Amino acid sequence: MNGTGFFTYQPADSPIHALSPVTKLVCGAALVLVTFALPGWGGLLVTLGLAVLSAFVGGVGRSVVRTAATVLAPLAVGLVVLHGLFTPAGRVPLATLGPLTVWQGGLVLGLRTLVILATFVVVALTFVATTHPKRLTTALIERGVPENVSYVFLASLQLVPDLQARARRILDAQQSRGLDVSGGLTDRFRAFVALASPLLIGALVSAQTRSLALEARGFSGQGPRTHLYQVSEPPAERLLQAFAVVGVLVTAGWRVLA
Amino acid sequence: MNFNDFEHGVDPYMSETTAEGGSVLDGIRGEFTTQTWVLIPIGVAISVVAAFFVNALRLPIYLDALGTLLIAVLVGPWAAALTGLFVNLVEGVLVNPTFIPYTPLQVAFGLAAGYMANRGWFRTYGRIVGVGLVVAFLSIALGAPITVTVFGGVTGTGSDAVTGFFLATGSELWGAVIGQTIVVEPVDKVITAVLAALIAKRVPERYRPSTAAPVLDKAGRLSERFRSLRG
Amino acid sequence: MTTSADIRFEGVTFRYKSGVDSNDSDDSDSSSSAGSEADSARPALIDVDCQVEAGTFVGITGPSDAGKSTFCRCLSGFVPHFFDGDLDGSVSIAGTDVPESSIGELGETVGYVFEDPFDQLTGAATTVLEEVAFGLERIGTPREDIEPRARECLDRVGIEALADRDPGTLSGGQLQRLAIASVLALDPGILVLDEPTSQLDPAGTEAVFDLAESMHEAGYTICLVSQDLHRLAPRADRLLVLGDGRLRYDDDPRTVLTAIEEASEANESNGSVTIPGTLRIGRALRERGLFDGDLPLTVAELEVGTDIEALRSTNARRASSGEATTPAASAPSNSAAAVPPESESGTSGSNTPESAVSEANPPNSDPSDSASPPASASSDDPPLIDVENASHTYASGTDALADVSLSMDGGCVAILGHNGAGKTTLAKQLNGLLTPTSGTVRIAGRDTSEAPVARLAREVGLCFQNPDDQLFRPTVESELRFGPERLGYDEARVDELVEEALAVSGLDAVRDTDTYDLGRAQRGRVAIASVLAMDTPAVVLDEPTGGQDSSGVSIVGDIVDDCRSAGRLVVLVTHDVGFAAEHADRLVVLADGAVIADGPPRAVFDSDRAAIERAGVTIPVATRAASVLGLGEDVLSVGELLSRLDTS
Repeated sequence: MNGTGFFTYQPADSPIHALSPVTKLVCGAALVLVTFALPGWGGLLVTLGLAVLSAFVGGVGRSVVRTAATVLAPLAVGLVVLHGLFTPAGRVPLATLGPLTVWQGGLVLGLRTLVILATFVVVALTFVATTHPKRLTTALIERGVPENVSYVFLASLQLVPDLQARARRILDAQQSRGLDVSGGLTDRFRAFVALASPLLIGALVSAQTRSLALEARGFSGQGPRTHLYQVSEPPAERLLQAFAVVGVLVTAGWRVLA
Repeated sequence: MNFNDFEHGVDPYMSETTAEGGSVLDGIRGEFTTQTWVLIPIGVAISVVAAFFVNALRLPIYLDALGTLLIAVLVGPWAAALTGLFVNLVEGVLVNPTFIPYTPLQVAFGLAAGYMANRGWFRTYGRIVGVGLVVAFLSIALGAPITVTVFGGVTGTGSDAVTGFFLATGSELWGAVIGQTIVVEPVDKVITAVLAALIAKRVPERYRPSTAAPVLDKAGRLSERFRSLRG
Repeated sequence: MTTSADIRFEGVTFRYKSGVDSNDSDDSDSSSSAGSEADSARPALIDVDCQVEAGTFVGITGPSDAGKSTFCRCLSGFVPHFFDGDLDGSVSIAGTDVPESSIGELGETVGYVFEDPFDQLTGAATTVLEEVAFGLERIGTPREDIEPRARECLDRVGIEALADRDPGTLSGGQLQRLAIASVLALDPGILVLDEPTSQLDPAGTEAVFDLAESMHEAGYTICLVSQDLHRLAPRADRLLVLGDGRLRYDDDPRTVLTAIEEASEANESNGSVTIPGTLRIGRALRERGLFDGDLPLTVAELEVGTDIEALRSTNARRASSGEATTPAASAPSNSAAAVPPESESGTSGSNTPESAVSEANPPNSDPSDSASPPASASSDDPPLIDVENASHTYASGTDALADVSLSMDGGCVAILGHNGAGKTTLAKQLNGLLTPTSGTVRIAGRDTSEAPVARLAREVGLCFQNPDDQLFRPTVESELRFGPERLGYDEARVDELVEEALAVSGLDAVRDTDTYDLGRAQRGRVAIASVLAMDTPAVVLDEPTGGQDSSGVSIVGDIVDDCRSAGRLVVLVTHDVGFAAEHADRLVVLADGAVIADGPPRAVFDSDRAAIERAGVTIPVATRAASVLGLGEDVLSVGELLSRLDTS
């Protein structure tokens, strides 16, 4: 986390950072898909372990685990409570508290789902923390993603903290004009319009300037484009990607047959 | 500003290709001017930042489709679909990866709302409620399967209490999740659609993209009449 | 540079497409009476003829809605490609008609720098280097050339050391230099800068002007729009003055400004542009036979051209003969020589009232003193705003305020200092948006940490710098109603307050106009008026003169004076020291979160001048001129300086 409260790229010199973004994307997705397909607990814990290990190898383990815990906590509560209390799979009661019964099967099911989600969250956060967005889009453009689509992704990532700061200023400004943020529900919905309208209008005013500036700098030019950075992808990484894809196919095939 | 002029003046290639393309492709190309590429990130960011105001005002809803619906009104279905695609991806990257599996929902919101906006569904409050209900329907139809298969039926929000209620009263998980979304989604999405219309309505004429669909224009004409009465 | 271009305007008339684009510009220009039918029908440019040789530094100035931005947009092709309308006549660069080329193609001939430092960046670059590389990538520069060229451009604007920084962490001045580097990457021969410094602090402004000057020396053609003639005139080869869409003056800056200065003799308030004070001073001295040569554009030129010995002896003679003071003089000083400011405390002048507020409660004992603002409370009541040993440390660990104590009850207090010195943090303490992390702030006796902002908004109206952060209602009038309605005043009272605020802010003619159809200057005044209409005992204005042209500044000055005489406390947060000197009774200078000077303007300027200049306070031209001329260290305005010359 940085000063803006958002989870972002953390520069470091690690083997995970050095991987091509595409390799990380393919392997990460493969790991998550395999996790979803695995039946027993052993495999699940191995994949979660791999995910956590890669976070620590990437030097971002602590922040990834901390953020993952915050993200997963409400889901964990939901899963344990809903399934533990209301999924009587196997009909084995663990405990009875007045009218409520905690079912073992439901609890196990809830925890299983939690481990799968944890793997996904840790993989995703590790990817974000170790992949520079510009390197990601450069690599994706090399793989055929349109240039402007990658612009949208980068610009959105940058604009969120920017608009968040603007949103704070607007909240300050409107409160200074007597806007009450603690009135009745209808008043608060009206207040939302008083806050969100300047946010949108201000963004549109900026958009006009930005469109002109981008246009003047060749945004819609039709000629060939080049790139400041090049993302290298050694043959070993290509092999790793192929291995990941095969891994997913094998797991899926095995599940279908089994 | 005039977007069509911008597009033709700047990009002569575009008019050549559109002459040959089919009508759907025409529509898509017409939507994607430089201005549109700049507006999409705004829609994405507003969806994410809306949560800041929702928290500050302690509103009991999400409003996470706000940016997508705004782009649907201001630009069109395809730009809104792309906005929707990036809303959950960007939110997934910056805030919480568990948004990522829900990406198809926002794409569908954008397509549906943009299509309806182009056909005048943002002109009156009654119709806007219709847009909200359609979006809510998509949210239920596409969201419930994701919630059940990926998340075991939970969302990690207050809505889980509603799911719990349905489960406690004897529903199966699928039924409980659908029941929960039927309670929560229409309210959230109708309010989102109304707020999107009110906010889009506030956009001054000169900053309104020429692609913008008509919004609450009946009401607008009414106030125009008042203005002329006074002046 | 790819082109060494001659710019040629021949009989250029441009009218924005009727309706939405009737105004000249989104940001820098505004229609002074938009909404009135006659005005929107006027073309933004009328029959402009002008020819600029390659390598010229052209300064462009004029009031809001004069056509300055439209002129610039004609060069970059934004007119007519983006802004639709009827273009007559021809605009050409190096013999090629501008409308023949697309905006993208023109980007390699004309580099355009906008007013807002951040909005013109791609918004998609994670480092400064990537930002500059963007244009090079888009035109297909070979990969191996991109980085060296981008670094060379950064080096040229003097920010090579920032290449790896996130653009979001740069200051306004650094961002503007980055914007210049980004357009330089495409190797244009012409740089167009449309009000590039109106959102910058003095240090950033100076840096951008210096950069424009050095680009000019490197052979670029520069077209720079600015209201800041103090900085523009000495650097430009040519000065174009636009007014109502017409090219009013086009000559070297000294000739133009001398002509305007002499024409303004008859009608002094005809403030279409703010003539540097040195010209007026130089002319006054010349009339007295004390100045020789062309009228001075800078204080240095004034010093060189003035016969200071003769001036001193005149002064000495006058002082000894005791005929110095003229009761009608606009300044309260009683002698030309430096007067200890303490002795002036309590005396009153007609438009530069002195120390109505002092560190303690204002004495306020002289009811006959019309200029001294009546305090709303009797002396037993707690002061309206009482800041006591307030410190503020942000969650990020930044110390923004350090043990600040200020008591304010009436009059006009200006808070000065660098960006980052804690001005805005202090302003937010004044209505409870922030509460001090240690110490207390009391508003009308109420501790801000115990009252909600919505309650404190009844006592203190705070208007932020950027109007776009607050305006959202469809018309000016409805925008003004928002605040008083929120405070729960009844309908009749809201009507009355809105009428008053419209009148004092010069917005009556645009009351039914969409606020965003107004230019930045008028939008700024709408934001101020929307806070005035809340009828709070105290008003805090953050950079109220930002983006205002000459007449806008004088309207804001009237607003401040009006509030003072109505007994309201006005707190100005500003970089505009000249404005503060003219309108404030008290200056508070912040540096690194601490108060380093606090007192009447005369006393502050007469104290450790080097220290307050280090704190980002640019001493006003009149004050500096008076210093070098030996007319005292405590002069606040040109009028006052002239009055010290008078009587002979």
